[in-house]
Amino acid sequence: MLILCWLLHCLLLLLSVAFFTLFERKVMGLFHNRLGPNKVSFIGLLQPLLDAFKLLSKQNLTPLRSNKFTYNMAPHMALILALFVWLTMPTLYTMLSMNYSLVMFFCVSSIMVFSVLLAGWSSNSKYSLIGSLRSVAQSISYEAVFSTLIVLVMVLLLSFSIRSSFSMSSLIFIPLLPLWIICTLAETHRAPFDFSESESELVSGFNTEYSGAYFAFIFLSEYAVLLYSCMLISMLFFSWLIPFNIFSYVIMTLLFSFLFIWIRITFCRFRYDMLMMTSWKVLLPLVLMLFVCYVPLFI
Amino acid sequence: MLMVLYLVITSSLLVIFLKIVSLMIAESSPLNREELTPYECGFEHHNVSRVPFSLRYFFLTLIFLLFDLEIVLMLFMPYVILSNFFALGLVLLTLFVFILYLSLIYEWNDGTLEWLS
Repeated sequence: MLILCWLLHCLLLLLSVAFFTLFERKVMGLFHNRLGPNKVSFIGLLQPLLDAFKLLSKQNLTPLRSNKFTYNMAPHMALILALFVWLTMPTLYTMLSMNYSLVMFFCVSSIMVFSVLLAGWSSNSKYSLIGSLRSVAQSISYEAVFSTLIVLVMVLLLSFSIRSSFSMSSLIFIPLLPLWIICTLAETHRAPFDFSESESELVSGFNTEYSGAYFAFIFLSEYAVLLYSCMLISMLFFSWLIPFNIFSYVIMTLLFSFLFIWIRITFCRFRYDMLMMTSWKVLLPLVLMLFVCYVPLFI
Repeated sequence: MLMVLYLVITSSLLVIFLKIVSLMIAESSPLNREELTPYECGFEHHNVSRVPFSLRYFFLTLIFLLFDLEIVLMLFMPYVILSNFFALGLVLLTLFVFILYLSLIYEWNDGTLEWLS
């Protein structure tokens, strides 16, 4: 029963990711003063499903001189890990009650770096190798900040689960929100930190050599993680809204996914050394300072 | 714990199922040699393109490793604070963060954090 429930959960998750891409394209169209996809069925509603079908029906290629096993494994690994992260979501129906969901999120999101690294390294192309090296350096340096933030949140919650933030006390996290958003942007490789796939320099970054189903897997995993981070923000920082309106966390998740698209459209890409410097010399000292600032709250 | 394992196996089976579906419906035109070569423009690609990465990169990953280890040590703070050692836990936490801060300043002064040099 539980397994069927989880399977349904995964399928709906993939579906929501598909429709999130449509949402992104529509919003980008809105910002660019054009229509966006509107030809397929009614105002383009079937577009993501047909896109997915088209991607799956493309030729399966394995480039010459690539490490075949690693090349084939990396996209599977990416998607499986992205689905795995969603296990930690606290749900209204008790699918799986986790006491250590924040630690779980922390672990799985740090393993996710490996799928990018393996995908870029094994496909034996300079573009993908450089893209994966860049994105690994970026995720590593932002993970130092992000994990400190997560530990700070755990210390403040006095617990390891996302579920325990469901009270008015989550209001005290609000000062951490800007930092959390920056770290999330860097962790999910979104603009303005999208160095793993900077189109103007590296053709498509670490997934240059991937096509068809494998590209779909990588794409789905990235967007699933993005949606998860939006969910996590609305759970951790805006759970004090839930007593007012039970659907507030869904609304906040949608608002934050809109915010991420908005950021993608508004800001241009950082310079790479500036990105690394921001992480180590600005954000990390700031997080450590915040740690000390929050300690007096206990007394 | 076993439940999580079952669920992960379920989701991996779903992913493999998607891959099998794609193998079934994918078009299979005869492959030509150009399709299998890495993406390049204009010239023939004929050797392995794995370039060695810089030592700076390696240093950065080492620093990250140390920082992450220290952060993992702080992971048990909720338990320490909830136990009998409440005040001592807070003092130790502050001290630990201070040491982390000092090590960061040391690395900064040492120049390992500079990406361009």
